[in-house]
Amino acid sequence: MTESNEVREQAARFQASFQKLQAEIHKMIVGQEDAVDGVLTALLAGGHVLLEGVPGIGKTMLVKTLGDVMHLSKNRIQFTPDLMPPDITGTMVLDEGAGGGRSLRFEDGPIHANVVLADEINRATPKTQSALLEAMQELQVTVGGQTRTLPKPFMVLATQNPVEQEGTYPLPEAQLDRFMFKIVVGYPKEEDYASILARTTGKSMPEVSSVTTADELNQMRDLVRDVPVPDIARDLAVRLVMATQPDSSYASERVNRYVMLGSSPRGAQALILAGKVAALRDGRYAVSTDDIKSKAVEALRHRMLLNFQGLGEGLKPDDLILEILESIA
Amino acid sequence: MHSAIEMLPRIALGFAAGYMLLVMANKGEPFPSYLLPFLLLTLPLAMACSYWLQAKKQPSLVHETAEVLDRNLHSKDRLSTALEFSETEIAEGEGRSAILARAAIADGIAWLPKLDTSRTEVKEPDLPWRWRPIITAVLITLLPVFLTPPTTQDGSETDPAQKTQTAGESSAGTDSPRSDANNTSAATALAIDRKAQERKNAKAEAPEPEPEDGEPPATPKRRPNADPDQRGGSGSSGNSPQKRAPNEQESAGKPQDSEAGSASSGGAGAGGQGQSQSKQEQKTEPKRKPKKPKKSRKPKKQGETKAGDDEQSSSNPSGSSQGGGKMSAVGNQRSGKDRGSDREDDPESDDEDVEDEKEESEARGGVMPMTRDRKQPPSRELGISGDGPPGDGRGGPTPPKKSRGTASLVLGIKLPDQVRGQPNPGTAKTSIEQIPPKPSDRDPRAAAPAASGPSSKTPQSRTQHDRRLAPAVQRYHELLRHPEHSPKAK
Repeated sequence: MTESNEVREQAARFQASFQKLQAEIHKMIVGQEDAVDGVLTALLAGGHVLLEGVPGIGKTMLVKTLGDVMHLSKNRIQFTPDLMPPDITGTMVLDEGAGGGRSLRFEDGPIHANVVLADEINRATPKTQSALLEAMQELQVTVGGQTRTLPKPFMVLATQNPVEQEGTYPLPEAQLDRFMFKIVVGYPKEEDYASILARTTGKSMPEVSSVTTADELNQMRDLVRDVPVPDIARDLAVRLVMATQPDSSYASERVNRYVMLGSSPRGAQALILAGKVAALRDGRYAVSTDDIKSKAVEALRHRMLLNFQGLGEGLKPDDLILEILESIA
Repeated sequence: MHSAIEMLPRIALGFAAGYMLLVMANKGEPFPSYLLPFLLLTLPLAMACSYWLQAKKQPSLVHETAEVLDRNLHSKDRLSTALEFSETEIAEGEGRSAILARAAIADGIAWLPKLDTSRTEVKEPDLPWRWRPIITAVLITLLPVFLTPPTTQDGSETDPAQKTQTAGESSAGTDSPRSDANNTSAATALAIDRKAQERKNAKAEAPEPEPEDGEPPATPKRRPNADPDQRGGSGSSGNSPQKRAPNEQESAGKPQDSEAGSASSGGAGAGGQGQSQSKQEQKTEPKRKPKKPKKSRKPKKQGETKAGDDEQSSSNPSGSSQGGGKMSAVGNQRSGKDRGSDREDDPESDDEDVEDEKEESEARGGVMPMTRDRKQPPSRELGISGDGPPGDGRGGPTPPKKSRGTASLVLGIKLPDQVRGQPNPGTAKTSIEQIPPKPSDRDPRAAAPAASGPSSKTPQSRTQHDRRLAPAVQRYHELLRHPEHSPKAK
């Protein structure tokens, strides 16, 4: 088999694995196609996802199912106001040996897993939230002067509740920027309710099987990085990101008026990586402008910070991003 | 290019209209008539060159075409991506990325058969249809060439209207009867030729008039009408400073400064110009400052004007006071101050002015100050000050400065003097002495227990009442303390 055929075979396997993963997850999660697609895209692109939605719509189940279908280790951290950084990263404990000697031993925190669910992340203090920064960006944690690498693949899936904002600590911009996507999980559709009730109120719960392993997932991630990006798609990603920045050359009048903070270059990185995954998912070998556009809202909505006037007029970043897509794309 | 050709008739129409307007304005051809077709031919060439340069600066249309095809085929940029990757050199050893790029090219090529070539065919427009605007434009351009009258060799116009006007000028200049000149066309033609020749000779002989005091010369368009050769008498001196001096002496003996003389071509030449001169005055009339109507002067002015009109209408080169009275605004730079001083010479006119201003102020409500009472403001120029005579408020050297002294110089305000010396010792004096203790000569008092003596301090003991009332007071206090008899219980 030549190298070219091998690469094509890898691309074909990528597409097949993606479809299998989607199908297996949908055995447990009814509906929520966009959320499932976004989470899988972020996982294969090496990003993290912030899931926002009201309680009871399957956010935690989605994360649990994701770990099951990929045969990955998963941990769940319930964020509370009294949670401390060592509760996440791990801490040094005094260990007594068999001969009576004592020594310090590092006890791993829950972050040492492939998939970490940070449930209700906005309920912890900023000090605890910031314990995730190093882990999300550098895939490592430093405790007691020692740096420990996190397992690969590593992904943080954080959830937050948009309604109960009292007593919460909104995520700082630096941490929000580290999430590749912010996916808004909505209520299920009417036709999905029958399946949800049938699956969850019966005697037996549906079971999911492992489709891929961690190694296969890492290979898929490597392949994503090799997908070429034509100029037309790259330029579109740059224009989209710049259009969210006030006073830039592509910013519209409404963006200048209502946006306080635009997207960082991480937004463009997220767009390109998402485009690469989308291209392989669709059986193509290069990123297209449609791939960039398809994930623009998820990649940019949490990177835009509206000013007081924008908030006062009830604007949402999604509306502005859709306007930008119409004007630029 | 196609759109440029379509625009040609409009451009030609604009050219023709502009040409005709210029001809009407200049009373002659502003530029050669062959220039219009020439411009019309060169314009498409220039536009084609500019389009070609713009097209050369733009990137290739192939990419745009590929993008449009991608959009129409919903091929997710396969064609444009393949085109871009095919233009870049992909090395063999670049790994999976290069392989994927080549795969993208192959993918784009695989989409090519899906193109519907029948939809992408571009029909060329018919060639004869393109000639139509060109021919129309040429015809429109040639139209004013045919419409404009032919010119003589020396460039003089043969327009009938211009003939009439020139005849009027010639009749005024030669003092011949106007009716004869207007009625006899043959004589007019001869006169035109003769005058044109004379004008040429006069221009060749006469030196160029030098501008006076840096002022630009009078408008050159009017010069042919006010030609010195066509005027008689003092009118010839209007443009020549050398000849103007005696002319000004002739003009009724009124003093005229040189500035007025420079602009007095209309006024000084009034005697010999007749109708043409009156036309020129009518043209220069709006340039003058509008004068305020004065009621009391009206009869006198009208009389003067009538007299002036009579003098003006007469064709005799009298050279009288027209120059001073009809001074044009261009050359009249006399200040208002000078005019005011002229007015002061005439007490009657002063009274009239005062009355006029009073009337005007009454008409405005009577609140305006009299303008003639306005004094010259004092000069604000800086100079050596402090050593001049007492000030009169009219500028110049300032009087000796008054002292802007401190309050100590003002009488009646006392300020303490500061005298150096010892500080005031004050009224109280404190001294410290060491006195050794020594025993007292008096007997010591006997000590008594504090609790059992009359010195026990109680509110009752401190009261200064009669000792006979002590039992009653004691009973009263006991009664107060008793709960049954206390006033509160009651």
